[in-house]
Amino acid sequence: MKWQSVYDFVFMNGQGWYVWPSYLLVAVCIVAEIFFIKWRDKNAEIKFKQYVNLKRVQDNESEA
Amino acid sequence: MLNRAFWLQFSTPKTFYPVAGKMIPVFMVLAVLSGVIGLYLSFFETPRVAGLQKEAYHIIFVHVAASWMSMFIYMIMGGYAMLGFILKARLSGMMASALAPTGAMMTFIALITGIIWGRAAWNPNFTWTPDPRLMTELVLFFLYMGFILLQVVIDDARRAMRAGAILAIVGVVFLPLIFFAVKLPTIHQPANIRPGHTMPVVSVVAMLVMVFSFWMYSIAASLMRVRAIMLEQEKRTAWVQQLLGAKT
Repeated sequence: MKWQSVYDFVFMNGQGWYVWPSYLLVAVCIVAEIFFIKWRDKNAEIKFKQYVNLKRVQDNESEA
Repeated sequence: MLNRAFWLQFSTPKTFYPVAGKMIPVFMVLAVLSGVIGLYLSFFETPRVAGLQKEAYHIIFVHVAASWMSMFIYMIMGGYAMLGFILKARLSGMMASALAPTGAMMTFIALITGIIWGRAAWNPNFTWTPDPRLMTELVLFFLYMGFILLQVVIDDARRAMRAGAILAIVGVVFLPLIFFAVKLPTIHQPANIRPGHTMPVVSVVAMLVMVFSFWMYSIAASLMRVRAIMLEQEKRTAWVQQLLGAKT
């Protein structure tokens, strides 16, 4: 094991201040991207429902 | 089975949508598994480094993977954009649009982790300088943003795709310059994977495993996004109405 202790692993000779934020950035970006994709997917379904409802109203109006 | 007609059937959104849905979990599982292995190797099996780099070199495992992906994704996006532009294939255009945000994110990660690593390894007062490697990567980020903005501001999907395709194709010409920028006079260190490199084998393996993980994640994320794009752009078609009509 190359690390002497948990403190050594986290602190990394003072370089942990650079290493951990880099990995945190990657994690945040990935979580945010997946969240936005899911949101876009849901939004596409909502827009589809709006489109169907609008079409239904237009069809009813044209029939009337 | 493996003839032209077999593959062509997946070139329409209708047939590709369910296939993409089945592929996403496979690529996501591969991304997570290889990511865990890559992180274990990079944090626990690679040797400690003394001298200028110190432990900040651990950033390499995400920085290099993100940098490679930023260029690979742009190349693939340009290819899809070109196919969409020449053959007017809808799915190619959708794939190009789906790849762009993931590519922009990878470029952003590469830039920010590069800045952090630069401060740690080169100089605590390191600031943004007109360095070829940094500037070409920044231009790549702007190319991605330009492509995304064109998709957002132009309402008509086909016109947006055509405009984006021209930008993407022009950008592809720029890619070799980014790739070979490390050979220009730069403060950036030389490429790590090259003949005669001095990196320990385990570090190279950890880096390649992380690159594989980023690859798998990028494919999974792009497939997830392309499914949403298909629903947005194909909502007037019978197959989407059947699919979402059954859901609601």
